[in-house]
Parts: sequence; C-alpha cells; structure tokens
Amino acid sequence: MSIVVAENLKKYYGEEPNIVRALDGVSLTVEEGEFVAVVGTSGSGKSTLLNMLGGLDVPTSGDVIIAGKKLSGMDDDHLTIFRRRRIGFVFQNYNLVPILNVYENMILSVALDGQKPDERYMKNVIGLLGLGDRLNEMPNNLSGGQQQRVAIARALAAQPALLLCDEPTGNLDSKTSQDVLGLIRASSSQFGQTIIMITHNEEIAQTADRIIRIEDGRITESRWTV
Amino acid sequence: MTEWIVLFLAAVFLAAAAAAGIWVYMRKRYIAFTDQVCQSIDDILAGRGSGEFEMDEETLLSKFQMRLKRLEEITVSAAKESERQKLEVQSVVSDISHQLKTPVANVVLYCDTAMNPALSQEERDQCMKILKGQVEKLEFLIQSLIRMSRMEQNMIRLSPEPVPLGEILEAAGEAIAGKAKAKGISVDLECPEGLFVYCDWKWTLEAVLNVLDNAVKYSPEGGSVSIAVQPLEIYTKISVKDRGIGISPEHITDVCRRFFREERAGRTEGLGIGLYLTREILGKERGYMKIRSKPDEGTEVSVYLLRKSFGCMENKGYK
Repeated sequence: MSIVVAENLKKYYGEEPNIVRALDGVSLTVEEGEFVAVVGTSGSGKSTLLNMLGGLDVPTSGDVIIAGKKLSGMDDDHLTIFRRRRIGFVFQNYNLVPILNVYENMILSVALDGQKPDERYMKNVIGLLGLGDRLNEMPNNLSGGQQQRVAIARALAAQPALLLCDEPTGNLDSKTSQDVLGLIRASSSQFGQTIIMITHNEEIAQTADRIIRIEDGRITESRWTV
Repeated sequence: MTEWIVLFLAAVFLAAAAAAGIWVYMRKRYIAFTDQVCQSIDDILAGRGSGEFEMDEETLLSKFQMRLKRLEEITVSAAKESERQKLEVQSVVSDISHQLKTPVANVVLYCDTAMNPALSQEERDQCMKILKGQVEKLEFLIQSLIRMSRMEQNMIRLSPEPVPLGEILEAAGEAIAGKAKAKGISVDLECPEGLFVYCDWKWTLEAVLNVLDNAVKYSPEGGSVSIAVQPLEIYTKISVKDRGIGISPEHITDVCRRFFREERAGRTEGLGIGLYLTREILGKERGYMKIRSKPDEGTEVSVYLLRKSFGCMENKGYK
C-alpha cells in the first residue's frame, strides 16, 4: 500500500499577474518503508510540499492521501487527531517543550491521545537514539544534536505511518549532523519507518533510498539510489 | 416508625431500579461497541479494508479502529515484502546469468580454438593464457555473487560486538598492501588508539576493504590513499580518501547500486559489487556511508559505524 499519494498538488499565493506558484502540479507516491529525500534550493517549494503532506497547510488544488485517508475533506479537529496518531514531525529547530523533561517530551503526543506508551517499543527507540541516560534531563541542558534526537524519539513514539523531517540537520554543526542523519537512516531500517526528509544538502540526500529533486514548484527528478 | 421503613424500602427500590437501568443502558452500549468492533474486523477479513473507519475521533471505537488499521497495514506490508523479495531473487538470478554469459562464452570459444590440432605450440599457449584469465575472472565473479546473494537473502547473520577499530583498519591495510605496492601507491592510516566500534569483525573488514580496494583501483600509479578516523558522539567516521579518477556528480547516487559501473571506469577491472555490498553490510550494522567526489580530483568515502550498541540491535521486527 502506498503510504503517501499526492495528486497534482498546487499551491498558489497572490493573484495574477503577481501570482507565486510555490507548488505547481506535484504528484508523487511513497511506498511503505521507503526513505525519501526531497532536495531543492531554498524557495523551490520543498517545505511547502512537506507542509501539504503533513496536513499543516491546505493546497490550492490537488489531493493528499496518507495511509488511504484523504486529508482535504477533514476539518481541523479531525486533522489534528489524524496528525497526532499517524504522522511524526521533526523540524529544524527541535521544538521541545522546555518545562517537560526528555521522557515527557518524547511521549507527549501519545499522552495527549490518552494512550499509554508502548514501553518495549519506547525502550527500543531510546536505545537506538542513545538517550538512555538522559531521560530525566531538561531539554535546555542538552546539546543541539541531543535535542534533535529527543525530537526524533518524540516523532517515533506514536509509531506513525509517516515521519516527516524538515531540514533535520539544518541547525546542527557538521559533526552532530552526521550522528542525527545516521540515526534517521537507522530508524528507517530498524522500525520499517516511512520517512520523507527535506534537505538542500546533496550529501545528506545521498543516504536516502530515493532522491526527489524539486525546482520552481515542480519535481524535476526522482531516482533510486539502491 | 413504619413510615421510616417504607421510606427506606422505597429508597432501596429506587436505587436498585436506577442501578438496573444503568446496567441495561451500559450493556446496550457495550453490545453496540462490540458489534462495531466485530463489524470492523469483519470488514478487514472480507478484504473491504478500513475505508469506513473513523480513525480521527476522540472515541474508544476510533482508537480501537486505528490500532486495527495498523494491524491491517502490517499484515498487508508483510505480504508485499515477501512478494518484493521474490522479485528481488528473480532479478538477482537474471543479473547473475547476465554477468556469467561473457566469460563463459569466452571460455567455450578459446577451448574450441585450443583443441584445434593444427595450432602451433605458441598459439596454444596463448589460448591457454587467455583461458586461465577468463577462468580466474569466473572464479572471482562466482565468489562475489555467492557472498552477495547470501547477504541479500539474509542467510548471513552479522554478530556485532565491540571491536577495536585499529585492528580492523590494520588488517584492511595489510590486505591491500600488495595491490597498492604494485601500483606504487602509498596508504596512510591514522587511527586514535583504544577506539572501539560495534560491528561484526569479518564483514566490516570486508566492507572497509571494498572501499580501500576501489581507492587503490581508481588511483593513478604512484598516487596516495589516506584513511582517517574521527569519533563522533554516536558514530565513528572512517574516511578513505584518494586522488583518483573520481565519480561524476550525476552518478554519485548510482555507484552503490548492484552491478552499476560508470562508463569512465570501463577500463578498470570490476563488477559493480563492492560498494553495493559495503552499503548492505553497514545497513545491517545500523551504520551508513556517504560519498564525496569530484571527477579527476578524487573521492572520499566515509563509513559510519556505531560506537556502541545502545541496545538497539535486539527486538527487531517492529513496525
């Protein structure tokens, strides 16, 4: 089953003659378990695409179908619950809650859903991300790389159908970037997680199974590396 | 007094009636809920899928249906995975037969020629020499294919453990020394002492050796290859740098594909298996690799290995 289907996605801002075509007819399909990198220069529309796929923004026309569910027909409340249960986000600037400790941050979305975290699974995630001895720390006491690892754990906690990463290493120095990148790659293989990662860095994109290139709101290339 | 008793009995009766009422109501709701659950399961069993599920409500049924949908997805994807593996095996078989065709055809050809009684001793020797070369090529090919297909069909279990990195790199350096010397290439190794990585000794050596072999193979005579090690927080990076022919940018993501060879590399011996195998091995060890290269300037291949296990190699098979 295709986890992500986008059909002829368009996002226009403004009106003629000053119309900005952030996305201009993007169609793509991502299969379960794939690790896809979306590359493009800034302003190419890659972040807009990610926001559409995650239901954070509404396309001007076209459809997004995640795990068989059409996002366009949903109202805000339903979309929020859908996101919480089915989509994990990792942003450039971690977005951890400063007054919660590391573990509380991780299980936040699960707790919001009134569920108990799957302890065995969480132990695996925490182990994979090397956070075992940091669970009681506050986010502010962690380095950037560690904070981003917590954010990845939080995104994985609800066992989402899809993990969306927007420039996950954008704020990190090259040393920590390499750690974080490897761990995203590892969660893809360890948990069979479907991942779409946005980056402007070709070298980072190399680690993915498929690279989608986007320019001026259109997909210009889609190739497999394996 | 009797008034009190009547009142008390009335209260008890009312409470009992209310309890019974609530019980009946709850029971009804409970039956309705289980009916819906059964209906959901029937939907999936009948292959109608989970299209009707309301998975984004704050209700018990919705939560339940969501789990159910996940279960359905896992089952479907397991079925797909086995189908995919079947196709993979088919494509490996067809790739292998394709790779074997040329050398086997050559062997048959030169065998026929060599058996011609009219041939002079010198010509026969020439034939034999070519034959030997082709047979060696076949042997190498078959060895590589065996390793590759075993790796691919998960017949190989890697057993990662803490291993001193220096020892692996030294072993790799020794294994490549002969080849490097023949081309007059110097191999520099810089590795901090006492560094451990979490990997399978034998297969990691193979992975590193493949990278080193490429570096030597695609370097000009008298060139140099350097191996550097940099410990990060989670991974240890091993980079192998050469000043060889490099990889053109449009093919940088292709070089890890099975049997892929750049046209520019046509004159150098090779099958297009090395980097593919390296990537597979690293993947199984939760490591990864990255390539940076410029045509005619050189290539740097970085291999990342976990520094310790972090307890993540156990309990596989999660969705």
